[in-house]
Amino acid sequence: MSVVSADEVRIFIIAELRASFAENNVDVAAVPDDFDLMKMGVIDSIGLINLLGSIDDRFAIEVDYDDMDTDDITVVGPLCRYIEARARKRSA
Amino acid sequence: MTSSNRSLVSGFLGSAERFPERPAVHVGKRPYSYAELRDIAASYASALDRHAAPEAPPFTALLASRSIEQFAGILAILMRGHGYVPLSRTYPASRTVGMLDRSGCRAIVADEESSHALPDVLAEAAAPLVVLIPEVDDVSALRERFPRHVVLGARDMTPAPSYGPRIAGEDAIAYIIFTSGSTGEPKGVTVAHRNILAFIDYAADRYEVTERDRFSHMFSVTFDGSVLDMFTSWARGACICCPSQKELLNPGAFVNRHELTLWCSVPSLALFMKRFGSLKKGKFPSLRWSMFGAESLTVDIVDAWHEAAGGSRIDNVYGPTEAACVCACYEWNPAASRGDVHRDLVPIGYPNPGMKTLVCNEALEEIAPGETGELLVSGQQVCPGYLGDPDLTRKAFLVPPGRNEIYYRTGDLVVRPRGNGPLVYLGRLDNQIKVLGHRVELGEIEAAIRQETGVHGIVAFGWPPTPGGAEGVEVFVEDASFDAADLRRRLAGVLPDFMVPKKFHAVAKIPLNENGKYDRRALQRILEAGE
Repeated sequence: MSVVSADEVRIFIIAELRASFAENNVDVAAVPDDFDLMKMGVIDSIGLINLLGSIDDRFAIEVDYDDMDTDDITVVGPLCRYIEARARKRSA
Repeated sequence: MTSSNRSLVSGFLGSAERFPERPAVHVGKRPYSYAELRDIAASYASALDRHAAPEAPPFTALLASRSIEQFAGILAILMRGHGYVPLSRTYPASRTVGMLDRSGCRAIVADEESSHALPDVLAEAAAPLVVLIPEVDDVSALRERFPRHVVLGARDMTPAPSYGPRIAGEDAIAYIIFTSGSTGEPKGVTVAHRNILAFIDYAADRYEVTERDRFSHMFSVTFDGSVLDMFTSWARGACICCPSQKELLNPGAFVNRHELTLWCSVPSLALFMKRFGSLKKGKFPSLRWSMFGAESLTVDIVDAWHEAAGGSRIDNVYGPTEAACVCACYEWNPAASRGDVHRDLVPIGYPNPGMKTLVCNEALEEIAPGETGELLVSGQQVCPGYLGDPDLTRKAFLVPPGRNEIYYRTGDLVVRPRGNGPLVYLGRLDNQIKVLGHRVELGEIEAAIRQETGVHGIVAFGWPPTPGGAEGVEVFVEDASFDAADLRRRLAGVLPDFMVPKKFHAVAKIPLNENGKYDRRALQRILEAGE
């Protein structure tokens, strides 16, 4: 199994949400690590479900809320690192 | 208390006497006791009373979400003897102003988070308003900008421990809930105290609610599912646990953090929890009753929930807002219920005590057992009708041929049970759909697009479908020249976000079927093909 990096996840998320970023006038080239997608209006709770679903499909990992700090689930950096760790766990 | 001097707030006031120190609500990171919540509500009510116009109609609006102001605001409004009119900060200002004008509200209670929506509302509102933002100290900016309105903040509040609640008569309106209307205007469903009390009394008994219970609060107050958890809890001294926006993202952790004993949500939330690993075997040991409503409940969801909450009984609850929250329910029995399942759907069961059902054809004649028809409901929970709309009320609330009572036409398609079998809900007769639990009339979306574009050929779909309804809305437009992003922006100014189409399909000509009507099936095939 290939290893997924947090950077790859980040590129994928930004591509998935490109339209929402544009609607909210966010420069996709400069999304900071602590950018909260929900607080900044890029996604709502349904958007999050869709995003996690796409991540599931793209990286073939199963998102499991039980091993995730959901306070950070909508923050770009922690979300990407979670997916990376989850993928590593899968490969192990 | 006898039935003649009760209102929806009476149960809370009784519990505040019996259990003053027990928690009434957990919201915003801390619990509030019954005595504390009553005192906060009394101070709101007293501030509103001091500034209210004497001739104002008996309705007060609430613009608050998942905050102490939401709960204390509802209680304060009811303690004034008023009915509450819940509004949402996510609605466009024009929609909110329409609701204020039509209900005749002259006062609003708002929380801090929702107060950013106030300037647009205050600018457009026709009548002068009393606006109470009880947790904000400095309201001078709003006050200076809108001298026509009276704006009150925390500094205008005083304790009112001896506030004497006014108990509205049982025929008075307890709340008005606005739902999507097919003609383009939202409908205001007026629910009287006696309608909703009949249900709350029944629900508190059915779920054996006591002061030791902890009940989830998953619904927005603009949706009447919220009435169930708030008022059955308060009638018996139980605690409502209100998740924050963040906690809503992980409902499973929320159940366990608060050791909830009672749960009520839309089935799609359970589906979401299942997908993200939150319904593992034995996950929710504290739950003893779980209710699902507002969407179709499928067997795979109920099985997954049973696996996670093995100690919990499960009810599928059904009811239009017009019949006071829930008017029929079906308890799922994992061993015995399989035979009642129809097309993978859990039945909606049997009418509540004091309620009757009738399954009819288009002539409103009862059909034979086993056949499919429209569900009509009658009884003490059926509400008086739509606010300021006698024509619509007459069409929806009527006496069918050969009957003596008023029945409400639900517009829901059901199978008439054979023998003592349960009712099974199949879907809608009309173009009403559920988007994430919200009632949406596709006609209202089509009317809004027609108004914005001037294009006549518009067909809206709930799409993609989910077990309980649809994830969102997609629309076919008979015109290739419009700018989709611009149209979406303009629609966001007149429709709530869950009604704003996610996608537009421009077509040269909308196909017609042999009756000359828009061929929805042909269009649906386009959606299914993912074009």
